[in-house]
Amino acid sequence: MKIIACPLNGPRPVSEFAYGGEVRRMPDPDLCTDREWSEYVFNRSGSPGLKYEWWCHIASGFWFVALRDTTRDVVLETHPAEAVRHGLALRPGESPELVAAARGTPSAPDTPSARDTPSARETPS
Amino acid sequence: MFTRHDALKPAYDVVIIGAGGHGLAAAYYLARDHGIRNVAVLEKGYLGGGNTGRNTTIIRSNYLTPEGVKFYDESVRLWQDLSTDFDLNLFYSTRGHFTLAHTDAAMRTMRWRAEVNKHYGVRSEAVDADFVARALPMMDMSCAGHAPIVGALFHAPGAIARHDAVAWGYGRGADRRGVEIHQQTEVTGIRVAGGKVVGVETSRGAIATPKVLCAVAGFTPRILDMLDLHTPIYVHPLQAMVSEPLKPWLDPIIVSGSLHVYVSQTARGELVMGASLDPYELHASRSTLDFVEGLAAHMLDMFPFLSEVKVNRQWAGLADMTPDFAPIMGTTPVEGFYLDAGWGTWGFKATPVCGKTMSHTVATGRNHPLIEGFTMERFARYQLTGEKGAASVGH
Repeated sequence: MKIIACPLNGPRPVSEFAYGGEVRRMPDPDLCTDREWSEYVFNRSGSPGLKYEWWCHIASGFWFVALRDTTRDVVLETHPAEAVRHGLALRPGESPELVAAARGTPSAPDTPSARDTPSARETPS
Repeated sequence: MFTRHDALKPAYDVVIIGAGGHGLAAAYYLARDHGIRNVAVLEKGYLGGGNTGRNTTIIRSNYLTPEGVKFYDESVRLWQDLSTDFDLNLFYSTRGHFTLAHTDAAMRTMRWRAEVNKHYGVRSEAVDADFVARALPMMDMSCAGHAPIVGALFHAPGAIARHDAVAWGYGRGADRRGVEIHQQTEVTGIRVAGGKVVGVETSRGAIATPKVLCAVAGFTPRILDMLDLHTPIYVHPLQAMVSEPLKPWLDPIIVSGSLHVYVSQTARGELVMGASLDPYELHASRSTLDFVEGLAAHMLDMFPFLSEVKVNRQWAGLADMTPDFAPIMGTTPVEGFYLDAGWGTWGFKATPVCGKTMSHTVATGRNHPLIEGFTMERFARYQLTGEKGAASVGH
């Protein structure tokens, strides 16, 4: 991967971007157990595969979501951060809502609250 | 050098996944110290072909946490007589190790490390800029004017060794004691019954075993997925490169956290250089020009006279990183499954002590006292072993 297609700025060299980790669902800290919270805070899906990830175009401060193959280092899709508000996948393929939302189709019925989504926590509004 | 085994046996007392330094060291000590010789070491590639043959060969014990200092100090002690033990020259070469400080904040960490080290009997000291300048007269102490050196952590026992030979030595020693090393044999599944390990499925057939040790560095998450075990391990590539051979001019090992450089000169004159992790997850050992450009620029900040020296080779390994920069070792929730992982960018120096402690853990079923700070359970208890301040460069 040398070029990433930024949804705002178009194709730019990878050196202009910062990696923000995989898109993940935060459990409600008031309701979850200590073990569920530690699972969220520390554990990661370390195996290779297709993953939705946060990326930031540094120069413009623009956060977005990329679907990337972490074995081949190929970015398959990029979407503005808003796409995540329509649903959140732990792994691509496991949540048809995100895939549907990411492709611009109407949002899933049980849309999580903005508080649950990394888009509300990790991206500048 | 090694016995070639045409077929896997139907059962072993212990199966070790990964014929790198760590896996082979564990096999060696299982056979030598614990009398457990019915052991298979399975390797999907070739012996020592992973991070054992891809690191920058630096050995040191100047860590930050008491758990880390005691553990790595034991490793440095074990390194001393390995060549004799193996009857194989590891080219173990004690050079002294400077971790340069370019800021007051870095100097504070060096003093902290020096004090922890001295408390546990490890020879480290914080030294000032004059000491560094006398020891390294060839270095530009201003680092091209933008990162002047204010002092360093000097660690006299710092050493380098020939990394391939470590795998060969442990492998041959284990082989001679009856351990079977099977290369080109990939583990495709782990059989569990009633919460206990009962066997391993491989590309060459299934085998029964009550004990499995996983020592596969960057491939750890793939093995853990077979057991649905969750860990914080994330995998980024770590790259390195070597220069053409030069006359000997650099005796000590030099590390600069601020400039993201570590460098030593090998017995055959090449400069072995490394930097920080690649900036994002990737499960491929490809090389990048970004890495060479960045590392070469920082090398020239310290040693501008190298500007005409050629880079001969570059490569990468897959680093299994943890959030606290300490490994994940020992027993797991699956009985009979033992983990030696989370070795990220710091595993080579620990090869002997990992073999010692993991062989003890596998043989007895209980974690060796030296690895109690590194258990998988520490994350659920929110008791991390914060070792990042002693990472060679700021990752």
